[in-house]
Amino acid sequence: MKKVIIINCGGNILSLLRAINQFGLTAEVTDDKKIIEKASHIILPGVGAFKKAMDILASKDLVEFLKNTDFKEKKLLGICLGMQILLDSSEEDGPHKGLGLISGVVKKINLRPKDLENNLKIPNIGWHQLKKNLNYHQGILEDINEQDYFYFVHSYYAELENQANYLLYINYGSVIIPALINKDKIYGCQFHPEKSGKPGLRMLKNFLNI
Amino acid sequence: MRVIARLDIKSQNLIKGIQLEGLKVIGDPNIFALKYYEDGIDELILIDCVASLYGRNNLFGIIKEASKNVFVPITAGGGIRSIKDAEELFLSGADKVFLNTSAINNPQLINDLAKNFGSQAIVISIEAKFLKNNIWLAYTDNGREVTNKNVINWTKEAIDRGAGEILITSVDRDGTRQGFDLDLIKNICNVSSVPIIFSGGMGKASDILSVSKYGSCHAVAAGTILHYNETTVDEIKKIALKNNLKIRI
Repeated sequence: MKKVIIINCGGNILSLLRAINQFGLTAEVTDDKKIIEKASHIILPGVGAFKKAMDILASKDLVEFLKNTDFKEKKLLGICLGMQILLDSSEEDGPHKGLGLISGVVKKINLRPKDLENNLKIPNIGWHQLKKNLNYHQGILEDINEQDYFYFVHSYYAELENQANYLLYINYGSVIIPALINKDKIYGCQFHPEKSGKPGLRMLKNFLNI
Repeated sequence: MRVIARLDIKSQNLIKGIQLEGLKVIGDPNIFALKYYEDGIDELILIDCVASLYGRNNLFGIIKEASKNVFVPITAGGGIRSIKDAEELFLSGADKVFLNTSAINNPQLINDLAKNFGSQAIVISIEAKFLKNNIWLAYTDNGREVTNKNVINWTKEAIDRGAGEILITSVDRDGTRQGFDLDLIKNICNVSSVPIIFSGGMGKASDILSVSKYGSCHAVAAGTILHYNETTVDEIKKIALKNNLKIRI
């Protein structure tokens, strides 16, 4: 039985709920462990600062709970900041510890002089086509192709310990930014699928079909 | 380059004026928002343009409705005065909030909002009116009240305080279809380390080309020419693409 829950770490979850409703599904917004335990799909959205999101999880006693959850079975999708907190730590106003579900650190996008000459800015705000990494696989990426654009809005990015943990990436100037990360049934996207038009909705739907 | 539709809203109506004055009712903002989404718009800006003037706020309801079937980013503002206002706006379907009047009256609010929601969610809206020789002054209350803030210095200050993006509206060009104020754009680009959205004066699809030399990651906001159907999102993007701008289609 499919049961989708959203853990609210702040930000615009209304769009996410509406997107899920479009697929004829419903999602429950909760921080109740008893309900989360029964979920098949957990979505962790997030907007704002890394520490604030972790503090919210800690205040709801969910940090250890998520660390101890078996994600070979349950599916988890972190979105934007929700993806970043899947990692070990972040240097945003920190360092601060993350959930450590995927090995890596969150770093500020560091543009080179050449990038600045090319008018790249921080935050990275805009639409990007995604490039496939070697371990790219279908499932969550069914019907997603390299012509599709996805919406990014962020100043920090995931630097992963193991390159096999990202399926898609973008080049932002000289920086390689993992766009979709994955380990077991844990997924994280730096972009906002709920804000990326039809391709984004397809990807969300794919996740819920895993 | 992003193409953004700018929807100025008064009460429940989409409205548009010239130089932010003489506002005319155009229609139902929800219908326009949905149409632009279906047409492939990259983002929407929704402005409650009398909120700060009358000190009231019907923005939350408007955003909730207009964002219903729209799955692209929405930037919203008008009368936002506190962290609580911003929070409520995010809960109503906005992805980014913008401030003008309240940021000028209380610049510390920019720092506070950036700390709470991250710079990437905080846009500072600047209404710029030409004074003389490369000097523009910032206005508030939809172009009505002049301040002593020099637009270029205010842009720098807002970015230092944590603004993640600047929405700059040329009051002189707004609604005139005369094209963007390129002097203003050039001066702003020289001092900005964050993305800029240019608004005010877009008169034809090819005007997007005039700003492209000031940076590939920027955005243009169109109101009048989209609302009156003088061009389409598709036409703007096709012209951009033909001229090798990086654009989403």
